[in-house]
Amino acid sequence: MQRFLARRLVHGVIILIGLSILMFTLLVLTPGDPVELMAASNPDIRPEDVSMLRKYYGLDDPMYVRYFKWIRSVLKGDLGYSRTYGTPVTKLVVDRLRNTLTLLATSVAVAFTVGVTAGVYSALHQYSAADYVVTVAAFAGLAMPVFWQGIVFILLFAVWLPWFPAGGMMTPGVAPGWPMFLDRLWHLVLPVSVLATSGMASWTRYMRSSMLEVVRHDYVRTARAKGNPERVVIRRHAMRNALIPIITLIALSVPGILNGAVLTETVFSWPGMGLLLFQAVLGHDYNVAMAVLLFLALMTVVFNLLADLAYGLADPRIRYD
Amino acid sequence: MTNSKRSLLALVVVAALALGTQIPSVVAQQSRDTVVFGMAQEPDCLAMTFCSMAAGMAVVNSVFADMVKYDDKWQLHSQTVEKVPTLKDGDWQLLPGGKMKVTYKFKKGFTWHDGKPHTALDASWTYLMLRNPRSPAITRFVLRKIENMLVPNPSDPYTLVVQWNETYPFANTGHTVYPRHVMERDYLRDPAGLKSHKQVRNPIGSGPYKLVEWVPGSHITLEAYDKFPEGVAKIKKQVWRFILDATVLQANVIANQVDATEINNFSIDQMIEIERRNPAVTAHYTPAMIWEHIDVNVENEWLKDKRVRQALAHAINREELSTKLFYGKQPVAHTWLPERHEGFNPNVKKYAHDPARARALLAEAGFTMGPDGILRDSKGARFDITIMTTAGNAVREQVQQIIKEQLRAVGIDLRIDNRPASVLFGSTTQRRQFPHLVMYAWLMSPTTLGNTFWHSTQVPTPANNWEGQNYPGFRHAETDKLIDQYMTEIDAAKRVALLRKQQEIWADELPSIPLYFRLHLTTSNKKLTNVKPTGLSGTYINWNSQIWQWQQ
Repeated sequence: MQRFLARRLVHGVIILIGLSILMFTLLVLTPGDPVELMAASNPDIRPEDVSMLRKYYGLDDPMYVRYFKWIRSVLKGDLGYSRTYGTPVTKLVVDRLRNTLTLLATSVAVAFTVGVTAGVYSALHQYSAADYVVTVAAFAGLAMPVFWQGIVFILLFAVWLPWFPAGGMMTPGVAPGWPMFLDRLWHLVLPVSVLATSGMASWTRYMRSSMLEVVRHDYVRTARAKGNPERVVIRRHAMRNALIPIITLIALSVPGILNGAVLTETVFSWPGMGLLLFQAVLGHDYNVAMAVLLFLALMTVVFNLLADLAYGLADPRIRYD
Repeated sequence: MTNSKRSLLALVVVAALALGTQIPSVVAQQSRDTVVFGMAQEPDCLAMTFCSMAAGMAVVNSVFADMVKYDDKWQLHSQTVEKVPTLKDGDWQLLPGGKMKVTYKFKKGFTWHDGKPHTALDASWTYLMLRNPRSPAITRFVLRKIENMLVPNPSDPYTLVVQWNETYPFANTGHTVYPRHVMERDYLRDPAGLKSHKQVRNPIGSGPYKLVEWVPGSHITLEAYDKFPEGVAKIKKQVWRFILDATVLQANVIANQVDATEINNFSIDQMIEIERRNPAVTAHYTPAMIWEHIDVNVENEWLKDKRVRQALAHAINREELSTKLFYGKQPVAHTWLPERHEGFNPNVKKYAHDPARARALLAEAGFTMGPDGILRDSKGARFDITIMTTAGNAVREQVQQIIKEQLRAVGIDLRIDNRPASVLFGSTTQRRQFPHLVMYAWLMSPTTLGNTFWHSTQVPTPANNWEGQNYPGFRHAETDKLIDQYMTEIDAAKRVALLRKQQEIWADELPSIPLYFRLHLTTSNKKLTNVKPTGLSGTYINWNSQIWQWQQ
């Protein structure tokens, strides 16, 4: 187990370094740079001003020099300075991370609760009308692109039925305490609904098939034969075992949901990592974009590792030799 | 049901009721002492000589008072100074050798938001700071024309004298002023470090609103400054929300979640939809100084012949573009200056849609029709030309498609080769890397005289380090002479006459095909009074927001 963990950690570091080189190269090769953006919006800017600014931002250095400068400061724990926001990237990312984690955790919790409940219900009522409704809803959820769904939800629930805000994370100036808590909750409803949809849909499908497989096993039949009430049979024996593969699946899905947050946050103006990445790429704010992309890559590596570990813990047949 | 389950259910019901009732009431209470602005950009900073995003300029309009500013009629009026200097009154003097002296008297009541007085000393220090090549000013276009900015009498810190080393017709439009007491110590330590000074993101201004908070990615909150000498703003707070997607911003306007929009990227379709869906909103279609056009590379072997350029203008149905794409709201352009500019000439040569005339001009230029319906030049080469524009700009891409069809009708094969905006403006135009045509817009102001667009010294070349914006490569001796004259002509009437003459020549030569003038599109809640959009970039919808009021 320890050897497996050490090997995977080394692999993880190599993958992250490779990804960082790839991401840095792609960002630098993206047409335009911050100074060109400034020059484009200012008809009075002169070539010497442009040269001065390029030197100021270190844009004249060759790409490999810029990469090594960046990686050296990252290894020292310094993610650099945001050109757009004028603050250290670390501070910026920490602030935004909190908002993204709020969105992510709520979405996973909602998707898990609804997905598992719907999946179990669907399995226990196989081929019933409810099963068909859940199945169709799950496929619809899987098929809807996040961006499109976001716009549709805004039109439905913020414009036509003005129940929820069309974006943002808070009503500016709302009183702290209970009103602020409710205000945040109110702003969370639409983005969470959108972000939770795909996870909810796929987990419903997996839970349904996992449950259908488990209820046919001998130990479930035995539990019934022993005279346990149906509720106990389902909760204690069937559902507990059916959940094992789902837990692994959730670990694997989190990076996907996190990536979905990039679009969801953009649509709903939710000030998290996704919106930050979008703005950073548009504004050629390389340090910020690299920090967010590196974080997304790190999350993917970590959650894949967690999924592998969860396999072993959940299924005693798997050994880490 | 057990007690614990009942309690849980009760809690859920209470929370649901609270969600349904309490939150909207929180919003409702707020709306009357607050204006929520929505914009599709987040500023990069709030020190507008160190950064350049329009979003920043819009917020700064509320935070800083200006020496002199434009109103909605595009008339100059004084704010922190007693009057706009004029030649007639003698506070703007012409000196021998083409030099000038302009004197401003600062008003005594203005203070910075930390209570310190706002004086001419701040202005003269700001000039010294910005003139230093080590300070991070992104442009020194006007500063280079100034010899010095002085407070001549130490006992009178309210008089500022600006000494100009060349004649500049807009020398009375004021200057940027920063608070010396806030920035000087850090400037002396490291001028380049001012780029990250607190004044850049958390400015101390002197305008009707002071900055309270900037929540990155979310909003900026401003609060009325209670010592603003022109009168405390009637609405207590301004909130500037950043909603980056124009469709989502549009939804926010329709849902009444923003009260006014600026820097919004709305199309005319979206504005019409807003009007239709929310009668509580006024959609402002303000004539602006944004000139959409096609630059022609006049160094191209075919396009150097002005008859070919004129044929292009006759072949393109600009009236139809305006009617079909913009519901007739965006006027067809016949020259490069918009109607509201002082130098606009309504009597220039105009090019109506006339394919027959276009074909005749092309025949005169030596083109003959080929078997495939495309013209051939005297050497037998097919007349196919390329047009470039900003990739992803839906309106420009639509215009390209229409123009392609219209040029095909006169025998010109148009190929489309678009580039991302950063590439198009970063290298394609500046390095003149377009073989034939490039479509984009110029943003102008009342002080725009087009010298960098049309003077032959302003053709970017490796020799001049790609300086200038004469991207067509237009070289015309008489035009150069006229520009040299009007650039230093102080007398507005004479300047206008020279500008008009220049446009007559321009409209005959056609180094660019004028398409249409874009509108400045903003929205505001109908219950907000005194909202008067200007249509000027740099003077945004909130220019007079201290007198806005919610109608009861």
